[in-house]
Amino acid sequence: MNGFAHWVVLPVVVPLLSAALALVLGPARRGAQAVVSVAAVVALLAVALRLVADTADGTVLPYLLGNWRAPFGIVLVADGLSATMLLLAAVLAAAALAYALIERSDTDRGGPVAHAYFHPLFLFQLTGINGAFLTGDLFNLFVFFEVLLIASYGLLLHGVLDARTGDAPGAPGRRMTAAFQYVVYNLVGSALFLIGVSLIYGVTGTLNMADLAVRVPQVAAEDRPLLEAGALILLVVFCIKGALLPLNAWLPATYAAAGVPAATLFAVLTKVGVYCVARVFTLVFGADAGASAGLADGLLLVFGIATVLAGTLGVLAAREPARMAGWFVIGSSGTLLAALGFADARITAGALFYLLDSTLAASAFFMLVGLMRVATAATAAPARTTASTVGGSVSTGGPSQASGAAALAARVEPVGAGLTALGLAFFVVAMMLAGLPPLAGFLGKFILLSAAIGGGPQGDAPVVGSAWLAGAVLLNGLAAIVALSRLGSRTFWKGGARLQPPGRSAVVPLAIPLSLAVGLMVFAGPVSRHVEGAASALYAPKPYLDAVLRTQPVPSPPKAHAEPAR
Amino acid sequence: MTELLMAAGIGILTGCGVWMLLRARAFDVALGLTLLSYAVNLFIFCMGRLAIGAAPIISGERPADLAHYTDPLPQALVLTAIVIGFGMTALLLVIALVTREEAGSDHVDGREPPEVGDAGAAGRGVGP
Repeated sequence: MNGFAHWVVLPVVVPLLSAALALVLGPARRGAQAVVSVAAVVALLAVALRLVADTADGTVLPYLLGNWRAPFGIVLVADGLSATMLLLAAVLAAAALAYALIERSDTDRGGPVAHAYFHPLFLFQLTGINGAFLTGDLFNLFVFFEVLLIASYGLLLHGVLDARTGDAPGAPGRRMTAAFQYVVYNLVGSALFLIGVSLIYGVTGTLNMADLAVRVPQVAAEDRPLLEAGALILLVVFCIKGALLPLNAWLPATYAAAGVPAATLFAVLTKVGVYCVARVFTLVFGADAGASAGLADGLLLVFGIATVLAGTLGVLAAREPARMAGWFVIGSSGTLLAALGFADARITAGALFYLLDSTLAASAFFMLVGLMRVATAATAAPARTTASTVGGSVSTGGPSQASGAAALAARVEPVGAGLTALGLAFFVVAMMLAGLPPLAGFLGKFILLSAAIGGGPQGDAPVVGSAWLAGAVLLNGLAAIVALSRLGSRTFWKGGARLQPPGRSAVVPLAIPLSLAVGLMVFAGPVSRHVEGAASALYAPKPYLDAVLRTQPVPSPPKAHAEPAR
Repeated sequence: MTELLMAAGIGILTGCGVWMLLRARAFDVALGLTLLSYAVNLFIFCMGRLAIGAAPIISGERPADLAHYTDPLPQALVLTAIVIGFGMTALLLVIALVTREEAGSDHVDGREPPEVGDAGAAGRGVGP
């Protein structure tokens, strides 16, 4: 590699330093904070694009932190999958930031407390997410998980305390309770993570994932139960993040309690869990792992399908749009984890395509829910009952927005451009979530299911599983159609002319995920080839192992040699 | 003997931690998480194997073989885990206090359960 050799570390360093800078600037200089955030997110997009381009041909880019050789020092690794995830995270960050800035300029007139530390927390969360995608070391994965979790607690509380003004009595307590439960749940998850990591370390004596992949097949038979216990504890932790069925009760309430920008970024948090399962359980416990090969596959398949069904029921049962969005996230998570359970490169490729699309759709839906809330705020002021049924549970708009909107609502107005755009956006997002053709949601599900039904690996177990998965996913799509038509007609038709259009600028952040989703549809060929490359690399980890374990430290500059050794 | 003591200690801490965690009051939950994190820290430490009187850092004074040194890595890991655990406990307590104020109850569900045996609970609750 010539020239600048530090691209791989930039997705961690850039948001970390920007967060520190934003923290130093303080809440009083929010304009400057916003500039820092925007600059960081633009830089992240550029770096992620560069890494995707560099890794597209299957190149693995290890980065030795501290310049120590791999099993001894800690290492960051960028390959096709992690670069793709970095790009996805950067895109969602851009959308979330755009929403936050526009929401701010609309509502933030003299509210000193709200959003005081949004920018540093936002950037710290990006640090954690990017680090989790890049790390090649289990303990660093724990550290980056903690970074993103701590930031997510902060962002969640921001959303909770922010919405406190002007809403139904009892609601702040409920939301605070959701935050408390989320924190407790994840603290238990962290404790389990440490137990799993130290069990694995106790048996193998290493935490580097590539080194683990080499050592796991050699583990003695009497130590293997301990190792597998550690691995399955890790699986539990990843599935807490990925919201697999028995471990997903925290998600809808938490995402509903978070503010819209935070929830938009949270859409990628479950994908961090999915990514970790894909990484650890293909690299360390994949086909080459000797007696432990395919350790988690059956579990993932069964619980993944159950999660899709739970998501289906949840979508139908949800009364608030924000909770419904949470159940959509759960459904897509279940689909992805079940697909990983097949341990087949083509099915995983379909899953990765679906991951890109479903994450964009979920984040777009979170923003849409926020905009619909603002739109219904005008009707909420005279008649609270409408708000409680349609979804004014978290009024991000705040009181100033509501009163201004009520004043404007006095002017009778035909359906404006803003409202039309909102309705159209809702329609597009609904099609994406339900997986209707021709949008990318359909393509993702189609690639995934056709690979699963048409030609899974030999043997009858995967065939049985694929039929179940196909049924569950299609049922989930049907439930999405039913629930979203109900929500859409209740909001846009029944609400009708009383709706207050949120203004054209507020629709702009929605354009980011929506245009990308359309891009996914138009460029489905190149994108699916790219994810196929990333997925097949997961099941042929030799280049990854070689790249990580054979990389030599950069030699010290000649000046250091001249100095006398101690 | 050392192994038995450590194992029993970790087991008791974990048991107490889980028991406290499953109680429905925010303060008990915080205590339970603290106990659990103690247990986890000891557990990480033990995964480097127990050695008495052995140093983690190589010095010239001892013979350079594994019998005289202990694994330094778990000690570094446990330091990280302690710091993170401590910070999280502090954050959790703050959140618990705010929740208590907002919800009017220190029950983890944010409201008192509908039928409680003791008479005092009814007065504290703001339930539906």
